[in-house]
Amino acid sequence: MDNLPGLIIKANELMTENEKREIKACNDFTRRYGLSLNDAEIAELCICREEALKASGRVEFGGGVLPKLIRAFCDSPYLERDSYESTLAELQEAFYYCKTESMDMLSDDELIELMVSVFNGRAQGSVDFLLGTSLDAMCRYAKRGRVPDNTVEAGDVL
Amino acid sequence: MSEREERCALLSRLPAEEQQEIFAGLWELLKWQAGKYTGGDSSSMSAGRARELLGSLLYTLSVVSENDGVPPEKLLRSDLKSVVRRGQDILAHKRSEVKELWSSVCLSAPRTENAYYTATLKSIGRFFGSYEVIYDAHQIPCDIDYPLLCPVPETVPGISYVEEYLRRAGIENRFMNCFPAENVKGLLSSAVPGYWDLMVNLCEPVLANAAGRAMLGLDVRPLDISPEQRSVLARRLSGRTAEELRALFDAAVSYACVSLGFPDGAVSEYLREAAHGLAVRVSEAAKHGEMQHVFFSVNRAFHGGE
Repeated sequence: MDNLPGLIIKANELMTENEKREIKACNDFTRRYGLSLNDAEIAELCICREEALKASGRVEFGGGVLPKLIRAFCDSPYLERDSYESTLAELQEAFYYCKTESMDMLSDDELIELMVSVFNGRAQGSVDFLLGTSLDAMCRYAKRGRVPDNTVEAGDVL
Repeated sequence: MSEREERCALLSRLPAEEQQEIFAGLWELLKWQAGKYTGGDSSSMSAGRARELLGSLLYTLSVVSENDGVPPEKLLRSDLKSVVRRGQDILAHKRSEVKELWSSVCLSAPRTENAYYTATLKSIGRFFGSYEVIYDAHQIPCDIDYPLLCPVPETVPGISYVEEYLRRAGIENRFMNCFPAENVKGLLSSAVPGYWDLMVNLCEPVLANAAGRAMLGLDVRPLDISPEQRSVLARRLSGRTAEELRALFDAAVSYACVSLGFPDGAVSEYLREAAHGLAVRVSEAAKHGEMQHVFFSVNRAFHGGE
């Protein structure tokens, strides 16, 4: 069935504006932490989302995961105004990567909770550390059906 | 133009606004299905899985279109979720019907054993337990290895493929069962030594010899074609154009069908279609005046081997 690419292109055209509005609405919530995104940054994040989805071989329905990531990470002591947009882009990419790597054995909320926990803990705000160590191990653990014997695989995120 | 190309052409002829509406409707439908599939736990899924879900939905919609006689362009403008639910009901009902068809095909299987035919029928038997009408309606979760005289097009999805395969296999069974088993086995042992363990269609040599005997004006049931009769056939068939050969085989198979009690209808139609393939083979063989690889003598000394 090769109808999917055409459908995705059409759907993206319809969705992008909604998604942008949804992300912009998050500014009301994040301003208290000194964080906000302007229109250009939001547009850039939408492009990054499409690229990240493509790179991880995924399709997204609805407004994307960014609003959820923004709400979950905005109180992190490691997020700064200057690098806010680029960190969000990296987190978004890490999120889709992990969804695929864990073969969808982790729900969105579970994965975001794990990401926040590691990002604010051992990773000390480093997305590279988050991806390269703990989340990778967690993906392997989830992929193998979360067998208790495999908790060593889960690294420090359990 | 394939069915899919026709559908695409049909959609592209619609005004851009309507196309956009149809795409939006399909996307919403896919979103709804994806939400059910992930249980709302995930806003995204692998493109591969999404493609499968879409394939399943499109097949389900096409089943409703075919079953209820609603043109696709009209169907796509209706409440798609209701149409999908209706399609799933049709498919669930079809599963019961096709299971009955499978039983009848198993019961009518000829006494000439073939490992691939047996394995295929067994595998189709397991299909009914694993066929999933909601998320994977277009899939065919079984191994169908035994080749038919006229294969079902690979583009036919889901249970429609299995249904058509069984329908055709049933016709081949009916045809094969018209001949004494020892004649069929004797013929196959000459035409396809070790036929019981090979991935070959058992009906083809039987059809060829039946057509050959019909051309000679003989009773088709004995199936045997002696070397002398083969020479007569070689003389009659050589120098003919492809169209002439096709017409000859068409007439011969029609004659055979009438004498076997299939004067008209699905059996005759299917076998005549298969005979067109034989005509192509004969056309090549006739160029050299050699028919020993088309028409075979029954091996009387053969008493089974399977």
